[in-house]
Amino acid sequence: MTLTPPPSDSTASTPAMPAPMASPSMCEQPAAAAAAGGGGGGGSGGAAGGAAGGPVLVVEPGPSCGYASSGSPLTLQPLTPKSDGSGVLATAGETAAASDGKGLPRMSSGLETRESAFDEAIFGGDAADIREVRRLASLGVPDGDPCLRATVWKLMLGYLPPERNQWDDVLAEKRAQYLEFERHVTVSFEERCGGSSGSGGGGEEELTREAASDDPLSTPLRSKKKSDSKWAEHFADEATREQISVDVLRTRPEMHFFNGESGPAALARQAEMRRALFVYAKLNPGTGYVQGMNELFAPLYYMFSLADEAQAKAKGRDATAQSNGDGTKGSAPRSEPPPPSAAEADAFFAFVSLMSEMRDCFVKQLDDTSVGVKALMARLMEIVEAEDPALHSRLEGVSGGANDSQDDISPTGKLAARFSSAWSAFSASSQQYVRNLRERARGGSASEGNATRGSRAASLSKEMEANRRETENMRGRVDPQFYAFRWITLALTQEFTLVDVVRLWDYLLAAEPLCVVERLLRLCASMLLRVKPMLVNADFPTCVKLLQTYPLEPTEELCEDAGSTDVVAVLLRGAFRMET
Amino acid sequence: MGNCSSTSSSSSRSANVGGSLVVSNVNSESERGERSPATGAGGVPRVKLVLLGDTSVGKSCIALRFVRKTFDESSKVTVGAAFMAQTVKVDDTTVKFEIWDTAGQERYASLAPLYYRGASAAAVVYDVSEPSSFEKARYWTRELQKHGSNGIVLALVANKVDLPESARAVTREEAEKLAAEEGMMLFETSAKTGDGIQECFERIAKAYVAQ
Repeated sequence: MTLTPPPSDSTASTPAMPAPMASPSMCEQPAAAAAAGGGGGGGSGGAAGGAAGGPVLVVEPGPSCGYASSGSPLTLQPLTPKSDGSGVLATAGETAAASDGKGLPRMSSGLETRESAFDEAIFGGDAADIREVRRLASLGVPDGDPCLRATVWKLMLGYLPPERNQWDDVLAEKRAQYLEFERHVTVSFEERCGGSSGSGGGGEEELTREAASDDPLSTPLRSKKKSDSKWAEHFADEATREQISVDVLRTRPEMHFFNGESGPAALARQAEMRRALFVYAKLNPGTGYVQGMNELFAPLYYMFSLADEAQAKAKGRDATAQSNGDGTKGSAPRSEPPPPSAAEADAFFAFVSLMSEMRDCFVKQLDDTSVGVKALMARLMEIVEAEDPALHSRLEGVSGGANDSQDDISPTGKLAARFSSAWSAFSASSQQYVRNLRERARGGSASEGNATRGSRAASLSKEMEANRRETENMRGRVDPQFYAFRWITLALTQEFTLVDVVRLWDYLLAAEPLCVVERLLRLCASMLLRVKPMLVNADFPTCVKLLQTYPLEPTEELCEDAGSTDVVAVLLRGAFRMET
Repeated sequence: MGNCSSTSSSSSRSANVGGSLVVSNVNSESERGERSPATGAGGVPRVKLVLLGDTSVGKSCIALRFVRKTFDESSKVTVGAAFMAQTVKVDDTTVKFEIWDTAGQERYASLAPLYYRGASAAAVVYDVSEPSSFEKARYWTRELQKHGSNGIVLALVANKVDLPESARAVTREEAEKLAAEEGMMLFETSAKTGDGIQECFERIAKAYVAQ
């Protein structure tokens, strides 16, 4: 149940590693061109086998590992098994029916059907049928067994290959590789300065002396260039560590699983999260660590930890049973704590893969490009406009809706409205253009001419943008940056409870490679549509407050469907509707 | 009260003397449209206030302390910006603050203009135990002087004064100097204990109304 504490503090010295970096899949990839399977690709480092864990992850429908083991605050929401006849996403109703409201899986026939469908897709042949797994997962993975969801996510993120007979090797290899990464990036400062010549020899005393002579405050005795940069790197690392530390402490503190005050297990988990995020930051110097990555890491790590714990428990039962039989196996498992837990390593690679989809959002330099987060917000507005022009008008602060807020009566307001609609027309066409461009760029064939035209369009739209901003205050325009920036960048993790996030992520991660963000935008649009009745007549502060603390409970203003107690099901239905 | 430094305690205006604000104040009547002029229901003036500062200096905690009167050490990472509203009564006028609590990390700094554009007030926060955060406060102050609205009310907020004196790494004198140079009010606060928070916002409101 409790995770073993990390083997060593992350600053502990480890033998210096020669420079060669991570396998290509781990290094910086040109943004936007990153392949979805980033983490899954050819791992070169690390000897296969011999790693902690060995054969893990057998998803057996048999000994269900069940949720909510003691200490975990995770209780499944009492979901009403509402199959309100809408037809769309009837399967979500089945998923909902999987819970009996006490956090225990119930073997309803619906659940069994869903579980056996997954079972068939994953274990039906020699290789998992990924397409089918994606299709099923889009509709929701049954909540009962964390092992199932963990496996499904690993498959969909390309961490596990479809071929089942490779799983053990891949996992062992990846976990060993992670260990190498970890060792490589957490080289102590002494080693960094002393070991750079390549010889690890010399003994600790010598290393320390060498490091001491590199002290920037000491009198320079020899060329300082090299050591200066080492110092710079050292300080930068310390700053990164500190930032990560602060953020990990405030990751989902409402859950015992994460909250350090809940005990040593949670403290150990925090240490693992710190380490994994630091390894990521070091291996991806272009992005480094950006606040918010902690939120994206958490669901993966949580899910994989739950699965491993459940499995360990099931194994423990087996072991006990066996030892009762032949009396040999009982006590072995506890003796040697595997260095970073399997969940840490797995979550790291899954995170790398997820980041290959999401990373552009974290790069400031891409903000004003067609792949940056601002372009995504513009795309979100397009979706909303196509789905619901009236809602779009309200968000854009354009009058013309049935009943506008009192802000709309001023002459400037009318002027602004006219400008705004002209802007909409312009932006629709230019965005279509940008979208074409983007799609072509994805195909890898954007010609230079296109690029120039693109940048001209960009500067034009920048000007328009500036003009539009002028009118923003009086129009009550609700810039998507005020809410959708966080929704998108953090893949909704700060808007919902983790239980809900996990269900939303089933749908997100089930997207084909490079399409996660598109699905994310649909979910965002679905969120806006759900609360439309609360937005259309509301003033600016009300809208922003509402969207910043998204209502999870049904309210009077929401129509019956949107007000369903299962907000996730409503949002997924909405997103599906947009897909078709 | 006692947390208010001498720079601001005599009069919120006095700190402005010599600062570039004086110049812009002259124009503030005519240029007022540039600041958010909105009045909400019942004619309560809405004051858009932006919190700026380095990461982990306590911006979110200050906002939460002011709005909800609570302190939550483990408040979530701010990504983008968080929005809160709170009314405050100064003398016989009520002012509604619309607070944008911005993200502090470098990656998010480029988004800040959206939040400080049109703001009537800005509070630049630093952590008294963290010299680098004071440098960041200088940076934000310069940004605001360059790109902020005319007549924007500027406050420099020294947070975490509950820490023992030995932990203090930015002296009061340094802060006073910066505040005087830039025409800012200066406040010493602790979001943890609540010291100085209410007063900080009240005085900002007062300065806004006085204009």
